Amino acid sequence: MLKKKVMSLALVLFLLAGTVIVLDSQAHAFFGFGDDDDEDKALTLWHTEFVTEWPGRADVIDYFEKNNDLNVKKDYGPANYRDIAQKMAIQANTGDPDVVEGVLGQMFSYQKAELIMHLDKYFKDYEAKDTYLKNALDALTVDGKLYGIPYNTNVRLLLYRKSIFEEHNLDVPKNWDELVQTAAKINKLESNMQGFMFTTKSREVRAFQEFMSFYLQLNRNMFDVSDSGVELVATEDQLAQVLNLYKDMFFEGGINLDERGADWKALDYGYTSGKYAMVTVGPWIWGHRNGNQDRAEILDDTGIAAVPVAKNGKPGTYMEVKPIMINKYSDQPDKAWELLKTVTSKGMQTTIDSKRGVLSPRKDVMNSEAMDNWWLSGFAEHMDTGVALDPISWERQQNVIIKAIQRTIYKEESPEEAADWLHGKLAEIANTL
Amino acid sequence: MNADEKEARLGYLILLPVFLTFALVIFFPTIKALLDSFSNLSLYNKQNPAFIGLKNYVGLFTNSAFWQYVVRTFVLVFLAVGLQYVLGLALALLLNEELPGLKWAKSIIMIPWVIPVAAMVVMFNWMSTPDYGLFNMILSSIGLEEMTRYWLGDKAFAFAMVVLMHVWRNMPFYAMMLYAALKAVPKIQYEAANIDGANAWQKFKHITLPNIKYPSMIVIVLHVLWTFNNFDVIYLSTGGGPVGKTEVLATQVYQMAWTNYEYGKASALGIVMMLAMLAFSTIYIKLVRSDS
Repeated sequence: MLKKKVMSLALVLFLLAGTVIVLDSQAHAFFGFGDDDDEDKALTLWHTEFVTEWPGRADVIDYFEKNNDLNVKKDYGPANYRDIAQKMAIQANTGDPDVVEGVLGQMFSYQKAELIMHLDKYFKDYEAKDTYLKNALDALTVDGKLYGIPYNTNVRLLLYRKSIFEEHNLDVPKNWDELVQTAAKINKLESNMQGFMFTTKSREVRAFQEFMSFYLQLNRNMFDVSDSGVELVATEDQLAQVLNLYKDMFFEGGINLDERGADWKALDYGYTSGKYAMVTVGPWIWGHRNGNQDRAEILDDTGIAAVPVAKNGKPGTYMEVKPIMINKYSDQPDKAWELLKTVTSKGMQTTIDSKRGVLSPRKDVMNSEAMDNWWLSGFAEHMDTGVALDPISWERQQNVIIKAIQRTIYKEESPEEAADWLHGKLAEIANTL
Repeated sequence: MNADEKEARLGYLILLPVFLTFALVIFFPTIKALLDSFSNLSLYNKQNPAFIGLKNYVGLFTNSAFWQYVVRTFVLVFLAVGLQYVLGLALALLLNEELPGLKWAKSIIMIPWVIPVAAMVVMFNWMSTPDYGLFNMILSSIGLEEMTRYWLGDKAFAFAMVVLMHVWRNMPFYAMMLYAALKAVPKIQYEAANIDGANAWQKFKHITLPNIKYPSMIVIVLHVLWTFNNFDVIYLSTGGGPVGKTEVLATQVYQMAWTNYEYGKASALGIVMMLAMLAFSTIYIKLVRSDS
């Protein structure tokens, strides 16, 4: 009988201990308590370049771990930006992660939600501050305060197959009409190649970026952001003009109708497998040449040109700047800044950006031997045409813009009607920002 | 305190940790979501959300798009679960016949169910591509080139593709569950029916179906809940498009919570979905029980 009681008591204690462990971990996630206050607590870094599977990943981690003196956890967080954003929203107030990488739109959301700290007090004394391109820093500045340090940047440009253009004696398109006509011509001349390609899948951020690459030629801003609020400055005519480009491209033979709904993978891998003659993408596509001779040959046959310009527009394209930020709730902000400096150092940026084939916002990195090649030079040449997004959160705008594109290319509405609808939705969103 | 009371007390004591864990990981988030649904909570006002009463619910029910998503969600559930059950039962009956050469099928039949959803979507995406996708290659090879298309990007077929993915993935689970139930049906009942001269349909209707009623209820309830709340198949394959043709309630909750960061509205929709599924489960289980 006693033995039975002892066994029962032991079982209850065991189950209670299990509950306490679960409660503790849950409480930490929900309320942010339960961590020890160890002086040398490991810092947490979330950085997709350390996690996403790509050919340069091992070199990046190796370089970082050899050149980092701080105590940093070896779990480098989620592999994609959407997951990072969700986890930041849920757990940033626990102080974890200390340092986080992201994309520009997310930075604006984090800043508005007060999840990241401004870096002015650190940056003013930063020895490398003069090496940064001004437009990259401007893009990460909100209300006069710097919220992130850029580690790579790029612009969308027109990539085209030189051999196809030479073979058919075609000129590189300079404006939207020429772009549509050239794409349609290639579609007719080449049986297994399509002239151009747009990404148009629902909720596909690339589709939004492509739209903006053309829209920003008509208006450098979509919204006016001031102390008094956010106001839509895009006009219905401007939106309709871009949507008409989509309509013309799909219905005048530049893109096959079967390609509607394609995502970024279809576009990137389609181009480097020879399926498309022209695309508007950034320099990252260079990474496709790693370990694949056929794709390398297509990239070697690639010409780089400015995005064709709109009638009544100015040369311009979507500029991306990727920031590294510090969690406002980090309990070791000074150490987090040291970690941020290591992650954005010349050596680190050179390692990541040269292997990725993307541009660096640091002049000393761009001048280094590792970055000296025709591909990066081709993109750097057009860097001044890059326009960064307005400093507001963009998630909802992205979705309505893609919906307007789909309404047009699936012939639910005319470009003008879709533009009218889009204008109304953007104005509604502006009122809530 | 008698022995029974002591035993009952010990039982409760042993269950206490489980209750505590359940309270924290199930009831706490549910109550929190319920409270949030009456507020304007968002990522940008997490510290001081305002109580707004039923505004989120009123906003939902007066939005015509919401009712479109409701209808589409129920159509998806009805088609997917219905087809899964019918085809799964057919497969289970086939397996139960112990036909020669079908033993290997039992070993590999569960493969679609164990493949991760993301991998399945990638596979279907490749099979749907316009040029070299399997579906289009088959159509081309039988002279139906004019029917080839990007199946996930076509507004007439995207929803059907979503149903197909659900059915392909879950049918084996139904088959195995129902096959196990069929194995438990006493053979003597069939022998008695044979003596009485019952035909195949009569045996199926009066012996097989009543005997597999409870396993059927379990798989149907499970999959209605799963399909109703499923988000990843649609999100990864079509993103809710084209032109919103595959948008359902689950993708809308995601949109509200993780794109718009409107947690109050997302919670309201989540609560509505939870109540709908609670109502379904209760009514369905009661119907099955009253029938028996």
